[in-house]
Amino acid sequence: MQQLEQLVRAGDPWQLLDTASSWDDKQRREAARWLAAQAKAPTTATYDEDGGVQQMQLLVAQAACVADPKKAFAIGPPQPIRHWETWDEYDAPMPVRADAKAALVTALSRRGREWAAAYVEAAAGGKRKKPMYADVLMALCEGLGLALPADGYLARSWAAGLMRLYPGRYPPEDPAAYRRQVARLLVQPAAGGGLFVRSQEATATSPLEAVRGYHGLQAGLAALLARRGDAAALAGRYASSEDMDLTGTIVGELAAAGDLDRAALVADCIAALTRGDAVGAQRMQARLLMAADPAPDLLAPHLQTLVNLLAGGHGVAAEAAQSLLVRADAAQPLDSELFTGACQTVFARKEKGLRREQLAWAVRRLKQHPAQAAATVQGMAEALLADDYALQKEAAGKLAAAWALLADDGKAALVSSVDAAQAALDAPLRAQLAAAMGVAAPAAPPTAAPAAAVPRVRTPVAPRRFARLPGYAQDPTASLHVLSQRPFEPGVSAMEQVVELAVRSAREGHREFAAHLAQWLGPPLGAGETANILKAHGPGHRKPAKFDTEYWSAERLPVVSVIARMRISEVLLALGQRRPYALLSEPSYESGAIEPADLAARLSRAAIDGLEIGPLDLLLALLRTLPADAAQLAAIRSAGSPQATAAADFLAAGGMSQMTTSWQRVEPVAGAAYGSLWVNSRSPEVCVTLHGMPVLPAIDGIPVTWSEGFTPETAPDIWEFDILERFLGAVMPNSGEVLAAQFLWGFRKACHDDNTTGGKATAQRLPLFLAAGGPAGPALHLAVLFTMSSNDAGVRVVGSDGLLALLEQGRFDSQLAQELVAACLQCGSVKAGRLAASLARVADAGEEAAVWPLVRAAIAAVLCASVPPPGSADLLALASRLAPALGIREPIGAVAALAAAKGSAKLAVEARRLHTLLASA
Amino acid sequence: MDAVTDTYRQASSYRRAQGRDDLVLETGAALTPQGLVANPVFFSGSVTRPDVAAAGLRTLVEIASTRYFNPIPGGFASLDPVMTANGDRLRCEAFSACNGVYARLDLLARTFDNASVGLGTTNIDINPPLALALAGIRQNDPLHLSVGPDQVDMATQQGVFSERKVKLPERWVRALAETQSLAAGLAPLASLDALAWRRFVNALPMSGGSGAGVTVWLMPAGSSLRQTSRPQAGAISLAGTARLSALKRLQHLVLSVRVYGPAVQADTPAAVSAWEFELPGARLTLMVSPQPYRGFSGEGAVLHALSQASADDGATLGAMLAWEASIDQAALAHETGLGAERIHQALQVLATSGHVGYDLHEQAYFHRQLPFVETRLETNYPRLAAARALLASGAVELEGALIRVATDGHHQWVGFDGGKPRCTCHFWAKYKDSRGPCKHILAAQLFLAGDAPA
Repeated sequence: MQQLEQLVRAGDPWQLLDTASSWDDKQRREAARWLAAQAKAPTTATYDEDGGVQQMQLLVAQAACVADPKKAFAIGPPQPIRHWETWDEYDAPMPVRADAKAALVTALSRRGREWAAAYVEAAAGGKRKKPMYADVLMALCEGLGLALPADGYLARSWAAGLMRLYPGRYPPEDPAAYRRQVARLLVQPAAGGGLFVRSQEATATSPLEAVRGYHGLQAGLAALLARRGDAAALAGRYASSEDMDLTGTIVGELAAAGDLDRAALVADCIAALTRGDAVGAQRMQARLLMAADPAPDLLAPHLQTLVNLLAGGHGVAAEAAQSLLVRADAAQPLDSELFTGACQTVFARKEKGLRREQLAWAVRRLKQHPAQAAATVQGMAEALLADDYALQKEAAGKLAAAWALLADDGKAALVSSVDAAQAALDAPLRAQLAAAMGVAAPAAPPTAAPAAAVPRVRTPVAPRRFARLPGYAQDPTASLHVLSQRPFEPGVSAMEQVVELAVRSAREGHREFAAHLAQWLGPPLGAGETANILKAHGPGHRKPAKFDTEYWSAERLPVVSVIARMRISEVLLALGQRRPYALLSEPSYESGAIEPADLAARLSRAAIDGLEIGPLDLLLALLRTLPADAAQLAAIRSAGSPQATAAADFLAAGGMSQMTTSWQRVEPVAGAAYGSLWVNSRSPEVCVTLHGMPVLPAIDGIPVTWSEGFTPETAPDIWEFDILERFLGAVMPNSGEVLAAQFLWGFRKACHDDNTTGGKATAQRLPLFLAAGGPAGPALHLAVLFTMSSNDAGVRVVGSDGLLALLEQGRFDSQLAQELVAACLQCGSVKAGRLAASLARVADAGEEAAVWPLVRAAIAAVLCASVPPPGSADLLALASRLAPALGIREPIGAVAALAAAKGSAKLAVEARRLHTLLASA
Repeated sequence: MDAVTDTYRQASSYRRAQGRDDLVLETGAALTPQGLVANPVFFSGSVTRPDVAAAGLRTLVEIASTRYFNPIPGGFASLDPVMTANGDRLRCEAFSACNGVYARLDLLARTFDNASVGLGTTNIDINPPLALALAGIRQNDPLHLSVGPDQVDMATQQGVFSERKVKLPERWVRALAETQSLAAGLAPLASLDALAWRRFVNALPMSGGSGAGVTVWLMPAGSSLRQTSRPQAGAISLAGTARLSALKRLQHLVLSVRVYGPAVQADTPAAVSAWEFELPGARLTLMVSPQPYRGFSGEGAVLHALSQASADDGATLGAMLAWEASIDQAALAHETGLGAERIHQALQVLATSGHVGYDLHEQAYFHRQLPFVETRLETNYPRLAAARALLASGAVELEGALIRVATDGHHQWVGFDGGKPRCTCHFWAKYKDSRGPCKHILAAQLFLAGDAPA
């Protein structure tokens, strides 16, 4: 096989093909064995052009010699090759010359149609990419009349090649500077069987020119449209709107120039859209469909399918279908069933723009096709069922105006449709329609259950609470179960259960079991780690370095959780050294709080029995202890130990309740420290100040820098307070307000549209903040408000539940909440539409009375702006729902002013409706 | 007589000719009261609402071809639903490609225009061209539906179509067993009329959650449902809101919706839910798994019953069933002399090979019998097999109030709190009873039931 090796190295594929074609069967078998060995032993060629040349030589040789088509592309990539250097088309190592591809197609075609079909199936199918080029396979299929494989990577690989013709993510500043080398394979039948393939290379000066020269455009698009989700590949690897638009534009121009079969493209696009692919793919399919710009006659066979697309398609697909139906209807009226079907499906959808366009189409259709008035009006009546008062109102007006155009049967049908929509209409609309139709106003349909009848639904704030486990002697299964569940439930309750059970087991003599538990809690901190923590947070230290990798990367233990972590370490050391340990910080209640009387008893027992009191354990106990009265303070002090004195002093000063908060609206000041902490330093923000404690817990060697408070200008940054949920409630179970103030930046980020840095994670943990007791001040209220206005729909549900939790706990301050709602809406930090939807959810839970003042304050705040923010109409719609339920008859000044203005905008329509409701007393 | 092979003899098709629409759904091999039959005809007649039948089938196809969690391009899913003819109705069942959504379309007697429905179970061929053609079927055009080969058509097209093998994924069989067991434990929790459903679903966020949408809990509130973030008594789980997205094809046809769920508590981590949509002449039931990433086939819901069931009871019961649309358990208990509990367990045995399903609307089991599906308890339920192996090796013994199970060089303890089992193993600690019992609990149950080897 020396000759073959020389031919491969020589690099001329045509010479190689001619020589191999002249071999007899025996020589080919030998060649195939040599090639198989080459595939197993990677070549010595490096990643450069030689590697690509050599690869193509091997492929051509295999195509000419290997008997089994499934083994005719077993090529080892040139070595060494780094994975990111792999050309993404079929994992091919690199682009190769077009004449080599032409030789490969020729070689493949000479093996016969059946062999070539099996080769294509094997090279393009399966779940793994093969080292192959899409244009080679497509040229082969085209030349031999083979169908493109339905499965596999061929279509996406073809799309990847197409995307390489686009300007990409970094296009040249001057579009005229665009240049691409485009190779095309020209296929002709050969005289002696097989194909004769030539390559044609040209320089394209625009993406359109380049794509026009790209191989298999019609077939490639059809293949991408035939498979679920593959069309998204036409928007490029990064699904960019620029690439999507460029694809649409180019396809549109090629279709207009006759380079693409418009009818086939339209049929393929509609078939693909009908499938219901992922959103990205549907977006591309709809774009291609619109780019094909089908004439009404092309749409005729697809009208019912397009109507069905209005129901099943994504918003963009439905929009495209609607626009094409409008076009078809303008040329030739759709039959009644199709038009009413289209109205039924569109008015059942949620997209406001689509619904408004449908109504506008119906209005235009009344004028365009008066003979179709009955069907048009019938379809228009479907708008009365939409959950959109402004749309209903507009539709009612149009229906009333169209009444005179209808024949008797049309009138009867409309009366029937309006009757069917009674439950969706309010009384004035019902009356308006009845008056227009000249029929008696129908009796009001049975109303929904009154507010009082809706059960007040209470959402438990924290499902897993601390509960003491039975001891090992009492129930070994339950105790062993603790060991099992520990890795899977890192919540505060499980952690506290293990700590408590470990100390108790040690006291009761089950030292082996206690040691097991200690193992599950993890290793104690080393002396160096403890020293680092104390150094980082010790007295006099104001602010740690923002990111000290040596310390932080090992285990991030910022201020709040450091107490919990160090206290666990303290417990572990005591258990390991078999020292009698007091465990003052065991919760008395499920919430994690400690009863002062319990603390007094534990301090007293520690003094009597000589138990060791760990400083971290004492600190944690003080943070957890509820406010104490004089008798309890005396009992604590009477224990007589220094720790008891420190505890009594701290609790006498008010304990954790010494930390208070206040809020203020802060105007942006260039260069101010707080500016970098808030999401948008150019807008005013509602900030919370955490005031420091006058009396700190005086425990030797334990720094409590977090207790010194902060003002907006010195608010903590992201690294100072961690968000490990298992530590939050555990450290300060009675101080939800303090925790919320410390984490308020996260809640604020959650409701920002550009949120990418942890805001959602903070807001999702709102229940843990609410589970912590104590008074709820501006920080907790703001946390709830920001969560209700989150940019994530799932998180907004958490916010609504948060407000319900505050109400349930009796900690909701309506006046404060109203002030904060108004201030946040005016600052723009809370979106009106999101807030309205979240408040509606709270009202659905039977809390209409609590929601009304907030809605009222919100309406006043948004309407005082020169241009009310988007979503203001949703607040008015919510108010219109609440006011009759609560019997509110008190006009709102700003609403009255807006109601007096003319116009059919949704905001004005909702304002008039609300004003009428409030003034109807 | 030739052996019956599980193939379609033709592709299902839709044709419009001479003012009549013909929809032919080709059948594979079927089990019928006459035994195994190749390509039987279950129905041939007109349907009163062609648009409902077509939209229902398209919804099923969309679900069957969709991977809701971590969607990937391409299509590797089976599109061919299982069809059961129950004498008065046709039931089409399918699972999503991720196996986390079960969908069943029941075409009810009132949608068939004076034509009778046969008895039996098979798969029907749904191919991409047919799925597209279904989108063109209109409400008022008369439609002739054939479930089974059209004899005239076969005569004219013989030899054109290369036979295609019926694809019934193994995980569908396992999932069919799990869904009936889960469905039997659900109760109706909420009802919505068409308007309330429309408002509810239009307000439901569908994006996020790795393609499956957000996870919410729902509480009945007035005539609608309110979203909440935490479970509580009476709440309905909807893990992955996008898993209801296929229903948009039917949104304008929905007459009412009934929602079913299990009893949940504040500490319930996740739960299954079922959504029953009343349509003109049809009913569509959707069941969504407790989490978007969980397929039904691995739920382990039948294991408790299987550990106590007798294969003989299953065989006895199986011989008495004949594609009933609603199985009367009390009558069966009376006829066989088996108690209600044994009847239930025997139904679970039958369910493992897909022989029974559960109809939430009727609150009753129905009979179906999948052709070419054997009962493979050992391979389909390895936990049960492992539990039996533990018992056979004498690894299970009583220790006080607990049962000690020796396994893999150590011991696990199984206890029963008021009849509710718990174990010290990691599987139980991680999943509790959400994926069925662990092998130690199963072994303990078998031990207590007296299955210990002599």
